[in-house]
Amino acid sequence: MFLVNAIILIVKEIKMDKTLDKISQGKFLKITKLPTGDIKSQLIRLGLSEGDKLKCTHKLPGGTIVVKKNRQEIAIGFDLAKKIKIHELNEL
Amino acid sequence: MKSDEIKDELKPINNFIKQNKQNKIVLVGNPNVGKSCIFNYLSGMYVDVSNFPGTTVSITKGKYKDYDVYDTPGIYGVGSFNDEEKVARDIILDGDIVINVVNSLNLERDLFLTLQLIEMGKKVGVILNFSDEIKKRKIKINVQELSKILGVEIIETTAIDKKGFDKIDHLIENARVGNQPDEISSIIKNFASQNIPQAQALLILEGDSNISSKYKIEKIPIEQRENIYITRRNRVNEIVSQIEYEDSTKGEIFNWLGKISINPITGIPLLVMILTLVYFFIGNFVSQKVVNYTENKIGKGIFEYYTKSFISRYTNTEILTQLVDENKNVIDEKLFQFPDGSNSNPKLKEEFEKFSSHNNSISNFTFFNPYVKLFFGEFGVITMTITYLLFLLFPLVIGFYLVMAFLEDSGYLPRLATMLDRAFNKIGLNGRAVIPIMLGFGCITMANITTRLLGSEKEKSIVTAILQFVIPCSAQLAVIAVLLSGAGLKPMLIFITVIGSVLILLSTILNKLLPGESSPLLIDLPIMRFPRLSNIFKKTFYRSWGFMKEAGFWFFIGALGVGILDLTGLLKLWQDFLNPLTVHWLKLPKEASTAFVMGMVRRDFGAAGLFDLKLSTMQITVAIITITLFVPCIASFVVMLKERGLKEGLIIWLGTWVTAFFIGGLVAQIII
Ligand SMILES: Nc1nc2c(ncn2[C@@H]2O[C@H](COP(=O)(O)OP(=O)(O)OP(=O)(O)O)[C@@H](O)[C@H]2O)c(=O)[nH]1
Ligand SMILES: [Mg+2]
Repeated sequence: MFLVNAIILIVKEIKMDKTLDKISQGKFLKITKLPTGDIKSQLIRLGLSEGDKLKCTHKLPGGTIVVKKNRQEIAIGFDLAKKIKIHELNEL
Repeated sequence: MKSDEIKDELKPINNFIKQNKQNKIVLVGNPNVGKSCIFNYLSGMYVDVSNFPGTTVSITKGKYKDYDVYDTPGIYGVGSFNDEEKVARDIILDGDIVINVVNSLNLERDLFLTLQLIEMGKKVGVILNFSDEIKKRKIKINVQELSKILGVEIIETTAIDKKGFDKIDHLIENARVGNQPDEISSIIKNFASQNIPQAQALLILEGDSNISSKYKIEKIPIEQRENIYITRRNRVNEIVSQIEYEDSTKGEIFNWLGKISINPITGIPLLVMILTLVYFFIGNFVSQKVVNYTENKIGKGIFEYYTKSFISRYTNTEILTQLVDENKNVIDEKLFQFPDGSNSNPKLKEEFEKFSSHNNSISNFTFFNPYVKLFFGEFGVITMTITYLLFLLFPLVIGFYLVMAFLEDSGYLPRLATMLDRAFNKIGLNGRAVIPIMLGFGCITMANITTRLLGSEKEKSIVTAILQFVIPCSAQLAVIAVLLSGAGLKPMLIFITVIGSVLILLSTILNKLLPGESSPLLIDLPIMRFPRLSNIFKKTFYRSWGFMKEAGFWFFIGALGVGILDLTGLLKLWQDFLNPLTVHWLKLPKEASTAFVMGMVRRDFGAAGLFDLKLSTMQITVAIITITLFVPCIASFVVMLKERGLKEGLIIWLGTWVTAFFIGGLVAQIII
């Protein structure tokens, strides 16, 4: 019984870990890993760094994502969103 | 000592004084924080102010008191990720005082750059702008504390209301080097021994290869930059948590509009609604009511009538005056002939003046002297330039500029970019391309420069091509609106379909052919709000003025050129030469080829050559399609060469010739 519970927990955890393009609109998330290279530096400057907690305010049909950090709203294209690893949260 | 020698003696001292006078102020900040607003105030000049990131893409220099002030493109950090950044970086390295403009609403984003500027060892003063917005949202910032932490002077302003600007002098005078974090200063000391200034040293540490190669230092691995960046980012977050308090999270008034404009389900209907409004405003109100009045009543009825009557006193003239009723049916007409000018026949002159003073009279003047024709005839340099430009195009262009300014200032464009991002991905672009393309509907020349805000060379090439090939600028839309007014919906639909298909085809082909990658969308969404009317009118005024200066000059030159071609018989030769193309392939009258000479000067000028040709509706449709696809105007051609290089520029230019005639003809064969 204990084992089953543990497995469910782990599966749940895994389900919570995904890339940004998989998030649904209105959900909260924490950035766990940014893609490497110049784009990482650009994201850090813009205010998005690993460990930041955000809300996904829009997810458009094509996969373009809009996230909100404090009062700042940033639109992120699908190809970039695919490369950002996140952890889904239940609240901020 | 002779006076010359004294001068020479003093030279080093003078130079010393010159060098030590700290008079270069550089305005630096994230995109869309109000730098240009502040620059306009300080310099008394005008540069565009709009509500989307990337309005300013080049440096403007102005004067404020004894200082030189520079407006720069918005950047999120000093570096060399793209061209604007390099431009901004160089002017920052060169500047004496950096005034860092910050959006108080987004401290967490903006202070990253502030810290970097301070770590560069620059003399910095900080402006916390948008203080109206933080008041509205009940956010409190502890400015004193922030100033203590950073070690620099800080003032608060509301740039759009010029509030707080009285403290700018104080800020400039007290600009100073801020507090240096220990980690950085110890590393940078190593560089000082090699005679590398602190600012350059920091950029080298951050892996800026342009700077390191200048000082012949090996490029530092990217991890180093990331470490510095992460440390800095953490410091920013910590600082913000110390100095900012939010009393409540309400107050986002225009938020719902922002929301519905992003999602396609609501965003597309909104877009259609906006376009419909624009159509009614421009297509109905301006192009019919306003232009009808300015062109016919003022332009033809007053300006041309009096100018031509005056000229007719002195030269061989034939005047056909018609009286018409409300439905433009001719009720009465008289032909007046003055072989030696009307002054030599006062009786007939009086009769003409009486007859033509009727309310609904139209007088057609025919001159016979070629030079008089050149200046005052149908395409007369003076008569045409003034009537078309001032009374026909100008009101319409103002209309378009008003609409553009409204869109630019509302914060709508970045949201449109987001909504259309996926669609643009299909043609090798990202949503950001919406911005230069939309600006192209105002002016292609300006939009060519704005392509700089795109992420890669490939994207810049594709958008530049789209702009030259398919996007009609405001002046040209004006002509189209006039030509199509009263022709119903069908020609318009054909026009949009054809141009739209060319757009899709062209960009798909370019996407396949051009090497390189496209960058993904990454854009800050500014707050959505009702535009400031004062800014809209100011912008419209400056742009309209710019249009008049530029178009006036080219219309004048163009009309003179066409006139001379006409006088020398070259125009007829050209018409005969293009005859097979114009008459058989495009199915237009042979005189239409004049439009293609004129079109090389400006497309709107080219279209002006179509006005008096008595074309059928379908011929008009073919003509406007051809002219729209035809070569860009001289000004945008020159700017395009500068931005994209000779080879690409010429390929595009020649490509427009081929496409215009090919597609135009194809449509003609089908619909005429
Ligand atoms: N509410 C408010 N709006 C402001 C203030 N200052 C500027 N704005 C608006 O912010 C927008 C951006 O202003 P700009 O002066 O174009 O900003 P910029 O920093 O030059 O922008 P880029 O050239 O894109 O880097 C405009 O729509 C301004 O009207 C302010 O204090 N309060
Ligand atoms: Mg600007």
